[in-house]
Amino acid sequence: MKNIVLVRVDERLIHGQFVTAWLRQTDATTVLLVDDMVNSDDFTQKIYMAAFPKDKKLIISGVEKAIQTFDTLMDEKIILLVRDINCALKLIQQEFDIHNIIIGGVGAKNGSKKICRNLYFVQKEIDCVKEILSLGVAVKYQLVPNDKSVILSSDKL
Amino acid sequence: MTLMQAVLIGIIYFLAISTLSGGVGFFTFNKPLVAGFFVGLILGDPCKGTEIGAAVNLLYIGNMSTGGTLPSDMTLAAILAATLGINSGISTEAVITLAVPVGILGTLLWVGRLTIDTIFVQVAAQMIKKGKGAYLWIVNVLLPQTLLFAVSAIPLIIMVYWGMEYVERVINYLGNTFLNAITIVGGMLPAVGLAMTLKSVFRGRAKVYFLIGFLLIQYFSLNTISIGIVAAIFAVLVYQNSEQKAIAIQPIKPEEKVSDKKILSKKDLIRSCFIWEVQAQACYNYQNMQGLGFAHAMVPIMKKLYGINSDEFKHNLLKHMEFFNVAPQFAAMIPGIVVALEEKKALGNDQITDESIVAVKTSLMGPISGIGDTVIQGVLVPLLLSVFVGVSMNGNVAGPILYGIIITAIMLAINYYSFMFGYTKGSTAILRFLQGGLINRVVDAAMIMGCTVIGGLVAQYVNLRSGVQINVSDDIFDLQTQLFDAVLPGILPLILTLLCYKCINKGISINRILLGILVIGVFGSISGILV
Repeated sequence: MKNIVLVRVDERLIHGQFVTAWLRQTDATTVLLVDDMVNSDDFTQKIYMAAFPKDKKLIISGVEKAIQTFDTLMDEKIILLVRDINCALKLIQQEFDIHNIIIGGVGAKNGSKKICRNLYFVQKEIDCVKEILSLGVAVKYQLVPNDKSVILSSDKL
Repeated sequence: MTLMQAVLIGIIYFLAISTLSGGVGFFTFNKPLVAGFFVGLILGDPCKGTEIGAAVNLLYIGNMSTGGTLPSDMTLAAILAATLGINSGISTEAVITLAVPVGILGTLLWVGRLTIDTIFVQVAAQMIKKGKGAYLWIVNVLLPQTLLFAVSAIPLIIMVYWGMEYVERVINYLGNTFLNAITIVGGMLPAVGLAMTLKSVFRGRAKVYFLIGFLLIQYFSLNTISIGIVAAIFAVLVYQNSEQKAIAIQPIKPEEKVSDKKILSKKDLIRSCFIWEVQAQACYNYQNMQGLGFAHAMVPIMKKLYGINSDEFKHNLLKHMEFFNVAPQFAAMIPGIVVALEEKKALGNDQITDESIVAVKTSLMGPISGIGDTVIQGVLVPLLLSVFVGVSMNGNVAGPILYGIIITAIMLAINYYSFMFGYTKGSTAILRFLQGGLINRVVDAAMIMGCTVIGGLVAQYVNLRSGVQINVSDDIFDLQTQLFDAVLPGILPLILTLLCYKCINKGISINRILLGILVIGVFGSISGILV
């Protein structure tokens, strides 16, 4: 059976923490990277493909077609990887079977507010998290599996 | 201990976490092997210092710090263990057990530092806007590093100068039962460290080499150096047999026209490359991570391209202060590419815009660090450490010295060549290099060497012996000598290590595993099941 083992929101998508920690920890076989920016840029796509560990599979998809791409997958253990929380919400709305979301670091932007450590949100993202929480999906911040996690809740945002 | 000695020890700790040690402190002074040697040197017993440093390092060979996380402050653990061991004469196994909780405590400093450093980012943005961008070194280096010294070295100086006496008194008060228990725990702890290291190399066909390394020690009593050489031969064989994948590589974009015109001199490039190498993480902070370091490396470039009084100078430094976080040395190719693009843009190439430069940074930053962390922290460093820690377990000072020199040379070379590769060849060449698969072949081969060496280390340095004796009709049957030693002497250490590996893979936190070992060790020691 297809199984989403992790939904990861990470600004840098595939990088050190992801490759050395999350990918190994979850024992996933496939990563479905949903991102319009990566999907629309040939060079970036190729770089991601070339840099990805050879013993795992990487599938890149745009946001709109994410669920169709997901349906074509046969593998058992899948990581959903997205750049920001807005995209995660869109996946939930596409009726992906998501119960938990783990956010990595999100750097500061203009007008962003510090949530904890290196997690900075602008108002739109805060609204997004609140909406996700109201849909009954848990959201937590955790850099690597061995690190402490912080559970986000509506009243603390 | 004299105050002078305490101050020197404080400085060693500062060098370990500061960028002022040539940007390679993280790979040298930060490692318990090297820190222990220096503490020994300061306290007049470099061999003992090295021995304790090596023993502490064995617990942390696989301690990876990726993307701004630090699992344990192993340097602090090593420094305090070495100081205590040399001053009090307590056994190495016992002091390393005491060092583990200290390492966990030390991570608080790391979190605090990344939090406080965000202040300097605000100051830096103001400075650039006021046209003082040329003085970025003050906020990227001087202030955060002074602060770092105040919060790291000074408390440590106080601790070793005034505090050690009390620690010794407490240990003496607790007496021999306590010492025996923590000695047994100390013998078991390397299993956790080695299991953690296995996590990045114990994969696919490399697995069987772990057993080979283990058996070579058990049955043939080789030492670490000979295991290292045998392992290297395995690696070479595997590398030679691995297939070079023939990928038809098409040019991605029409080749950019190579213009001969240059503004930047070799000196400007080296300056930028050097600033990046040393100062990328001088003001490491949660807000933009290495963003300030990146902007700092761009100062000599922008100075030459636009002059320090221009609006472009301000604009470009602010642009490059955005969030950036990579494996610094390996990913030096990214600032290299950016420098080349900025130069072309300044020369009037209108296809290059601010947006396209930022896009190159963001698209490369993740994947390149993914490889960088895998290659350097996941394979290269653990491999070198495994060999030299093994050499130094008996206090041989050649281990830390050779390790320090070799890793420094490698990291400086990687940084330089990566930067220049990025500058001269550009992003298309990087993609081709990645697609060529060379890195994967090397990593696969290195994993095999790593597995072999770690197998050997398990056989040599994880200590766990049963004390169980069973009365069989007037005769005593000793489980360890009559069963285990007769079949495979190191069977208990082997099982313990693989068990720890299983636990780590299951996602059980390292601290819990350590606690588990502590409980088993203390219980086993008091009941006599373990000796």
